[in-house]
Amino acid sequence: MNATIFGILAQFDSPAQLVKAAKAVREAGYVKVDAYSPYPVHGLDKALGIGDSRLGWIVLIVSLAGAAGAFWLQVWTTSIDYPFTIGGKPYFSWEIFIPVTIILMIIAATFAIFLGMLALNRLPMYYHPVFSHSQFHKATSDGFFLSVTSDDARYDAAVLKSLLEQNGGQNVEELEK
Amino acid sequence: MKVAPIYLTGFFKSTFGILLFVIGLLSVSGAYIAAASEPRHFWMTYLVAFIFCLTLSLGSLFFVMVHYLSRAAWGVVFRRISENLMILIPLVGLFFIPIIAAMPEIFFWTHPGEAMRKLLYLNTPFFVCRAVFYFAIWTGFSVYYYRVSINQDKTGETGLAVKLARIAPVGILLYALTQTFAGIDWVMSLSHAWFSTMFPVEVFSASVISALCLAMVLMTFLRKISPMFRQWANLEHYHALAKLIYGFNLLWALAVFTQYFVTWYANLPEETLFYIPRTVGAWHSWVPILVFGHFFIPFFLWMSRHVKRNIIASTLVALLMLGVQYLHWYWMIVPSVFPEGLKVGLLDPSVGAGMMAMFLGAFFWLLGRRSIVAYRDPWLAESLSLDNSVH
Repeated sequence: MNATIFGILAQFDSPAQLVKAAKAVREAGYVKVDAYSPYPVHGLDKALGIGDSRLGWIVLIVSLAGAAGAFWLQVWTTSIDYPFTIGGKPYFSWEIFIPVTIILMIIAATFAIFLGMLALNRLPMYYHPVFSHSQFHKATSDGFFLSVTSDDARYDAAVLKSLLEQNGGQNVEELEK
Repeated sequence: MKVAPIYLTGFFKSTFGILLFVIGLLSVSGAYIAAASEPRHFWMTYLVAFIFCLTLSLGSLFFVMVHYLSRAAWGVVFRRISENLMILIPLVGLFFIPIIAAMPEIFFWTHPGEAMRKLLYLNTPFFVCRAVFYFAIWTGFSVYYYRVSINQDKTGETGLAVKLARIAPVGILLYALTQTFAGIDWVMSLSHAWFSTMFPVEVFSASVISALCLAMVLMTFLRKISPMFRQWANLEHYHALAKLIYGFNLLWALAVFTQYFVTWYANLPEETLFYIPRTVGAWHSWVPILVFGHFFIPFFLWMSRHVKRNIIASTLVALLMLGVQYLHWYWMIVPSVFPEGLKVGLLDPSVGAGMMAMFLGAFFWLLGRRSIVAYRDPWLAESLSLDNSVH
């Protein structure tokens, strides 16, 4: 493993080829595989062996914390710290706190989804080694790319190059960090 | 995949349905005889069972119509289940006839001097006319949708599905109006001084939840008895169906809570009279069952896609919601007549389960007569290849 090498990137003509190549590379035992395409490709996440996102758990915890915080804020301000009679209701009337609790739970969940998605994707990111590939600008129009990074235990540029080319890969280039 | 009709065979072809129906009929009539000393209790629990069967049929009618309306494809593989539930509307109409005969036991507004200024709407002849009108509309639409779908099995004409989609908006509008007024007539008028504009939303969401939960349970049952159906209806359909029920569960919780919340906040005597027996009086212990059994437990269980995609777990959640839906109607209906509480005994399950057995017996008997999948529907292939990870 070379510390200055990012990995190897190959271009494919169609989404079907990309999925086929991803399967082939995974079957050959590589795990640090990633793909780049202009739009979501059916079956690609399965072919790459991408597991469930952790985002759901983050959102669950953050939104429950948001709900608890909102509920406690209202309870503490109107029935503990400064007890306030509103409409002749008891100081602690849980009913009245529910709408605000739900709204703040939704806001917390929304922020957790948006910021959590950015964080898990390590965004914003201004530079990425794949940009140095000669054809990578096509990833936003008609190019489909597959990468194997050098932190894979079985990484071997020559073996990978022939494997990718056998599966229809073009412009197979080894990229620096 | 080879597309061919799937038929029930052997015991389940017709014997099972007839057997269920007879057992149910014996159970309900036995309960009627046994409850001669407490007719009011019998009629109230009969009304609960009737409303529950009605919501199962009406929710299915809504699902079938909205499925065509939105040109949806995903549910085609189990739509025949909902079609066979909605076509039971005439049977539910038969269940309603004894209620007309027992109106003085059930509806206090039929007593002289009770309805007062609401007499223009709440009077027996108009009440019966309205009921006939509702059942005529529902029967008309369900029979029409059922027959066209059956015809498509014979002819395979794709235009028939398009025709059904075209008439769906009219059906949905009439459905919304008739269900609103039916809910007012048969449930809200039990406490005739009370009123709530959120009530139709509660009836509607409860209907759709019950109907879809029952469809899921029946789908699991049919998978057990038909190996061919097991190949067709897979966990993708459970996943999609669970998501739909999940959304309607949120709508139900919203309707139930806001209805209570607005009443609690204003604290006006003519509104709180509905909630006092139910939330602080004799029936208050039922509230946690509804809140947790219907909302929180399904809400957190079905939040996970692993539960939605587990057929056994999803079916258990659907069964739980069905059971709590029944309790929900019991809690909505019975305290109007028994505000001081009621000893729930053997009578209630024998009427409730008995009427459900009649309802499901008729369902299985009808199901055995046709293919259990609309196998020549133009969108069946798309439904069979449903994949929830693609959007």
